[in-house]
This record gives sequence, structure tokens and C-alpha cells, in this order.
Amino acid sequence: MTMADRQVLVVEDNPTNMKLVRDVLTHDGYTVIEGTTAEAGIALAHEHLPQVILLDIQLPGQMDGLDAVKRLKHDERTMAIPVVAVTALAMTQDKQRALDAGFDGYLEKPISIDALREVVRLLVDRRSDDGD
Amino acid sequence: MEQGADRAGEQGAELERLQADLDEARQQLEATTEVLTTVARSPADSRGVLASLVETARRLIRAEIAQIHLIEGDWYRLASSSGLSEEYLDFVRHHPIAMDRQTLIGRVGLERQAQQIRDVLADSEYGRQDIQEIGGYRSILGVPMILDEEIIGVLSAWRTEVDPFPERAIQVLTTFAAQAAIVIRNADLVSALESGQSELEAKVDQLEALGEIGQAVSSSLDLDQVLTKIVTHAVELTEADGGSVFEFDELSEEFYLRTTFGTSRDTAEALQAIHMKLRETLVGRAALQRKSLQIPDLRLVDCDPHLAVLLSRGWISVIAVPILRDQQIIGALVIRRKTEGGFSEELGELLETFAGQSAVAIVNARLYAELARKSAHLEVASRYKSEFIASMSHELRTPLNAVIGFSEVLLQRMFGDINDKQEEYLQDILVSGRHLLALLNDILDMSKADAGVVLEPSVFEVRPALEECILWVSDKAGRRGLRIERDYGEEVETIRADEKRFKQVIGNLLSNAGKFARSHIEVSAHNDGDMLTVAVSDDGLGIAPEDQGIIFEPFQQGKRPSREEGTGLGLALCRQYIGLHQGDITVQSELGHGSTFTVTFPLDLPPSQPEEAATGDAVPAGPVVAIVEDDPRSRELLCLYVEKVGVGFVTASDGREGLDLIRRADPVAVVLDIQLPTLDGWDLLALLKADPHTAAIPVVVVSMVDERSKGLALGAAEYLVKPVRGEELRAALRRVTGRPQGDRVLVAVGEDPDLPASLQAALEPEGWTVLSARDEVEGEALVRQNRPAVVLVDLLGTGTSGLALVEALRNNHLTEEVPIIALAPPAMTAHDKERLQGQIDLINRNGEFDVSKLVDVVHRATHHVLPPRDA
Repeated sequence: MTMADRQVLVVEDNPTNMKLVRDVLTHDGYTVIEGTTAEAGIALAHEHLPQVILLDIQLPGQMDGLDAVKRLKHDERTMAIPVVAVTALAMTQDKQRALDAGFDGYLEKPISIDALREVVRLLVDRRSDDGD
Repeated sequence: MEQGADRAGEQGAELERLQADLDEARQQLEATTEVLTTVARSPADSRGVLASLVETARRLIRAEIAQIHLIEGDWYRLASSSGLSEEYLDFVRHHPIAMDRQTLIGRVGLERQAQQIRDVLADSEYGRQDIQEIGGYRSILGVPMILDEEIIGVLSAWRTEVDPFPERAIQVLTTFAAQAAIVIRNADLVSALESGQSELEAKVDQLEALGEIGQAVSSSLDLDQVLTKIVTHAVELTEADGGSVFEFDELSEEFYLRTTFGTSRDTAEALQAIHMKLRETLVGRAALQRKSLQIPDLRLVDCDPHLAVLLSRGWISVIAVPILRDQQIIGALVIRRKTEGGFSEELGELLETFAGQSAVAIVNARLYAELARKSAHLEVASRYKSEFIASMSHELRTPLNAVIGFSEVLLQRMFGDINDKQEEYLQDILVSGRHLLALLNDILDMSKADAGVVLEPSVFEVRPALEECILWVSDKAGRRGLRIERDYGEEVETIRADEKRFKQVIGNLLSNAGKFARSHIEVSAHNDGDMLTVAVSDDGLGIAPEDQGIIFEPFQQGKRPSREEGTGLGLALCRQYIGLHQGDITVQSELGHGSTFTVTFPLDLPPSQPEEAATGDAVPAGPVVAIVEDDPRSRELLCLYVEKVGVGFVTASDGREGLDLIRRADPVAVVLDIQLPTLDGWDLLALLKADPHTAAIPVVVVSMVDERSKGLALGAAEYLVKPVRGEELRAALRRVTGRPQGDRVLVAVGEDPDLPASLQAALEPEGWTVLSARDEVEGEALVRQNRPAVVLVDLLGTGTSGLALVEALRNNHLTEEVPIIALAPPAMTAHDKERLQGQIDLINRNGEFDVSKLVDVVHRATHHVLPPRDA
């Protein structure tokens, strides 16, 4: 697997949390592409076609994570990329809404570092297996 | 022969005498019969009967005067007489007869039998020469009137010559006296009966009025209505002419008119205009003295401003009754007459009862108003609280993410080794962060429970559920070396409850027990009737009696060795969840001997959530509004708002369910949330508008986000941003459902905002609705959605696109019939005009437009009377 195969797009507007995720994933050997708005995230997804996308739901700007995941899942180029919600929305219905919108997974903030590493590893591996 | 002639003469004389006797007896009989008939026929008219009785008696015994005296106190009062002069009557009225031997009447009373004085002037005992001088009588006869062995009066007769009455006269008079006594008794009985009757009727009237008022007070919160009823009854029952109720304002110390009865508008307005000061008015004095005050004649006193108003408008007498509540002045009830005279004590008491009722009504209404105000505040406050907590939870989670995340990263030595001290501190940071997180989660749960969690009951097995809870704590318990013992009754099998909440409750109790137990925890479960009882015991420190009551309150943990663990919300949450299940939670504990928490759940949770029924299949009869909203609390609120419009509602909690429901229920309107599971509001809206069966149903979007333009573009009839106020939603629903389709709707298309505004002003009074669109796209959408009676296109500015709109409408079979009025700018080419001729009404416009002319054309167009083509 080349480095290009191990790209994770993280869309997160809080710089500290971005740093945490970036540092952990970089440590584990992924290339982290960073976006801070849903619009930027969609553009970066098209540009880099990452292995996994971690997407915050509450984002500044016109679109939120729910809008973004719908776009990604309706676009042939990006529909196969697993998108994981990383959110501080803690209500049960928030989680349901996220899954309904097209997210493949849901990480509740504060995220467990172990869970983050495990989820990303599994999803990247799955993609790698698909590619094999 | 002589003898014979004598005998014949004797016999003739005897015969004559007998004849006379017979005649007399017959007269007497006739008279008696007549009297008896009169007595029997008119028991109420005792005066008339006595008069005829006296007169008949006088005639029968050939007396000049006959009279009846009745005993009244210590005197004989002349009650009825025949043949007496005014002078005589007047004299005896002022000089009555005493109960002594001075008079014949007195003697009859003392002797209790008939008495006669052959010649008054010859009677040495006779003492009332004064009367004799006026009456001039000589022979007098009197008989007692006896009733139940008691003398009530004397029937007497006299002659002005000395001509004593024969025995027969005594008998006649005695008979008549007896009759007279009966007449008097009857009259007494009748009048007693009558007064009893009228008293009874008055009481019944009062009771009925009070009953009605009582009912009004307790059933109606419309204060004016109740007070009007009270004052109306008060006036009617006291046979007064009018009345008013005043309310007291403590701040200004003035009375304000609340309501009136029997009072002209002019008087009421005058009463409203005056300042009725507590210390300067009759009403105020009555209130201060805590008692009714009255003025029988306003013309004789100095009038305060209130009384002056009344007097100047013809009111003469008033009574002011204070309306009090626990000695607090609430107001006053004023009853008035247009004639002078006082109000009796009895009426005063009656009015005080009315005042009491008024006090209750006013106090109730004030309480209700206060309650309504507070509820409204509370509703808002509660909504803000929920919103605040949700957003706070989110805001706190974001930094916690960094605290917990970075601690974990460092503890995992991802970026190099750390020393023991660093590890210890990082653990502290991590534990504290997680504690904060648990706190946050509990607060969120708590606020959700406050806002009304909807239970999701299902049938599940009790034992596996308990075992799962035990598993959660077994790790920790194992580390502390605690034993966990079970005692499950054989009868314990399944329960119908909210499984998640059930486990949360038991898990919480177990987790508490795990913290305090010294050697073991015991979990027991038994069925008791139709309840499941689960008890969790520990052998820890126990809870002091004074703490046992408060441990179920939020943030009350009682005395414990350390506050390091637990959020202080667990038991409060348990109690809320159990309460929702209609179960119970109790604690038994003794200091030093551990604690036992016992919870009970009904084995079969009764289906109590009414909205669950509404979410189901049944569609109520009549017009309904469909509410599609996933958040139960918001849904409930929307239902409440819609209900107040007076239509039924059906609800759905996600998009797909909503779509099905709308297709099935054919609602008059849809209230639609945007963020919905399964199918979001935008998609649902688009599907509704794409389906001809549902396209016409107006949709009111209710969303957290203000995307009004997007909503209206997709076909929403109204767009409201949460939090939505009830009145806002109701107004929107009224607008969208009340909007007349076709008739009296005008769509104005053009860039000039003055055009729709002035049309609106001119046409609105006739019941028109003017919808305006800025361009042809908006215009076409409005025409399609609203099927207006007429379309007005201002070609100035819209130019060719305006023409395109006209053609588009004409080419669509749905809109080809709609009359179109176009305002043609001066620059319009003859060719363009030609294009429009025959299709529409064309009016030239030279910068300005003439609204009245436009209105005329609108009228004609909608009545299908077309103006001349080249107008």
C-alpha cells in the first residue's frame, strides 16, 4: 500500500480537535488532509479521493455535515468512500439522523483515541482489501 | 161565640207570632248561610267577611249599631263595625277600651260570657261616659269571641233607647261571634300561610340565584360575565333598579368599575371616568369599615363624586357592600334605586352573600390570570432551558474532546515515554475529564426527562436484563473483591417496560452499591401482584435518616467519604424514569449497616402516551393538520398549538412516515420540520409538490435554520423559524388554510413594489388577497399554486419576460382561463401590443398608474365583463 492509499480527509472546524486527530492519525502512518467547512471538505474529497472521511456534523457556513454527506453519497466519484461522523451531538436522534443521512459510522465526541484508531484502521483496510 | 172569637183572635195572634218567629228564623238561617258561604268562599278577605257578618247580625237583632272589638295587647281595638260615625270611630281609635269592668266589652272579656246592660246611664259601674256621649247608646249586648278557649274579642250591639235585647238576640249574636272567630282564625292562617309562602318563594329565588352564581363562579373564568350575573341577580332579588361592581386597585387605592346592570351607558361611562378614592367615598368607607353602608336619600346628603354621578342621573338611594377576601379589600357591590328608602337588614345580608361570591370570582380570575402568565413564562423558560442545555452539552463536549483525547494519546506513549509522576497526573486529567463527561451526559438525560421522555415499552425477559446490568459492574466489583449474590423468584419472567430505561435504573443502583459495599451486593427480584420488585442491597456505610429524603433530589448525595465518583444525578434520574413507568423507588438504610434500594415496575406498562395513538393509524374525522416532527417535545407543542385552531391533527415522527400519513389523511395543511430521519423535510416537501394529489396541500415549514427563500422556492406556503410561538403558527395556518383558492385572489407580477401595495390597500376591504411576485418565474409559481381570479402583469420593467409569462399562462391548460391584465409601458411596440390583443386586458401606463382605474378593470375582468379592446 502506498502512502496515497492511506489518505484520511478530516473535516473539523475546531483547531485543537483537528490537531488531536491529525497527530494520532499521522502517528499511525496516514496522510491527513484537512478541511474546516463542508464545502471545502467536498472539494478536497473530489481532489484527493481519500480512503476515509471523518466529518464533523456541526460546521460553519451554509452546509453542515449532513448536507455534505448527502452530496458525497450522491456523487459517483465519492459515493464509495466511507464517511464517519465525528460529532458532539449526543442525542439518540442525532445519531439516527446521521446514519439516515448516509454516514457509515458515528464517533461521539469526546472521541476515544482507541476507537478512532480502530475505526480508521478497519475502514482503510476494507478499502485496501476491496482494491486487492 | 165571643170566646170563640177571642180564641180565634188569640189563635190568629199566636199564628202571627209564630209566623213572625218563622220569618225571623228563616232570615236568620238565610243570613247565617250567607255568612257561612262568604266565610267559606273568601278566606283571605277577612275584613269584608267580618263587615258583612257584623252588618247581618245588627240587622237580625234589630240593633242600631254592631261592632267587633279584638284584643290587641292590653286593649280592645275596634276591628269591624256597622253604622258608626267617623267621629265615633276616630274617638275610640285614640281612646281605646280597657280590659276592665268600666265597659260592657270589658266585662264580657272578664266574665267570658254574654253580658247585657239594660241602660248604660243607669249602670253605676259603667265608666266610659266619654264614649257614651258620642255614641248615645243605652242598651248594650255583648258576646265573647272565643277561639281555642281563649277570648280574642267581643261582638257587641247597642240601641240608643232603653230597649233590652231578648234571649234570641243573645243566641244570634253568640252564633255570629263564633263565626267571626272562625273567620279571624282562617284569616290568620291564610296570612301566615301567605307570608310563609312568599318568604319561601323569596328564599327559593335567593337560593336559585346563589346556586346559579356559584356555578358561574366555579365554571367560568370570564370575570366580567360572572360579575354581571352577580350584579343582575342582586338587583333583581332586592327589587332594586340597578347596580354595579367595582374592583379595588391597591396601588392607586381607587375603585374601578367592572360591570353594571340596569344602568345606562352614559351613567356607566361617567362612573368609569371618576376616581373613586378609598378614603373619600361611600364605597371606600364601606370597604374600610368592612360593612355595608347605605344612603336612603341621596338628595339629603353631601355626595361624593360617585354618588354625585348617580344623583345627577336620577338615582336616589344606594347601598354599598364591600367585597372582601380574608379582610382584604377586593372591590364593592353597589345596588341602587330610583326611589328613596332604605335596604332592610335582610337584603343587606343577602347582598353580602353576593359580595362574597364576587370576591371568590375576582380572586379566582386574578389567580388564573397570574397562572396563565406564569405558565407562558414557564413554557418559554423551559424551552430556553432545554435549548441551553443541549447547546451547552455540545459546547462543553468540544473542549472535553481535547482534554480526554490528548491525555489518552500521551498515556498510550504515542509520542514517547513519560515518567510515573506524569502518568499519574495524566490519569487524573483523564479521570476528571471523563467525570465531567458523565456529568454532562446525566444533565442531558435529566433535561430530556424533564422535557418529557416518551417511553418505548417492549416485552423483555427480566433475568437476562438484570444479568446485563450486573455485568456492567462486575469488573469494578471484582477489583474491589465484592461478591454479587442473586435472589430471583421463580415467578419472575417477563415485563413490559422501556428496556433501556429499566436497565439504566438497575445499572445505576448497582453502580452505587458497588461504590459503597464492603463485602457483597445482593440483587433480588420478585413479582408482587402485578408489580415487579427489584431490590439492590449493599453492606456499606448506610445513609443517615436525615439524608434519606434528599438523595433522590438532583445533586444531593448525602454524606459520603468522597465526592470523587458519581454525578449526583443518578438517583434523581432513576426516580424520574420509574415515575414515568408509574412505579416507585424507596430506600431502607441504617448507618453502619448498609442500604437497600427497592424499585417497583408494573409488569405491564399501561399505554399512556396519547400522542402514540395519534402517530398511529387512526385519522380523526373532519379537517386535520399533519404534523411531521421527530422531536417528541416539539411535536407535542405543535399539536397543542394546532389543536387551538380548532382542527384535528395527525402526527408522524419521520419523513417516510410523514409522506405516507399525508397521502392517507389528506390534511388541510402540513406542519413540517426539516431535520427528519429517513427522509428529510426538503425531500418530503419536494415529493409532496411533485405529486398532483398532494401538491395543493399548503405546507408550513418549521425549522431551526432560516432558509426561508429555499423553503418558499420549493413550494412551502409559510416558513417559520424555531422556536415557534403558538400564535405565530396559528396565524400561519389560518393564512394558508383560509387563503381562498381562486375567488378574490389577485397575483400581481412586476418590479414596482408600489403596485401590489396600492392594490392591496384598495382591494383588501373587499376581501381580496393580493399576492405579489417580482418576476415571471415567481409569478408563474404563484399562479399555479393559488389559481387566482385575476393576474396583473406590469410590463414596465419586466419587458419581454412579462410577455413570456402571459404567453406561458395562456399556453398552460391549467391557467389559460385566468383573466390577465397587463400594464403596457408607453414604449411598448405596436407589434407587442398586437401579440397580446385578444388574450388579455391591456391598460396603458405612463410611469404612474391609476389605482381606481385598475380596480375597475379588476372588477370587470373577474365578472367577465371585458372592457373595449383598445381601452
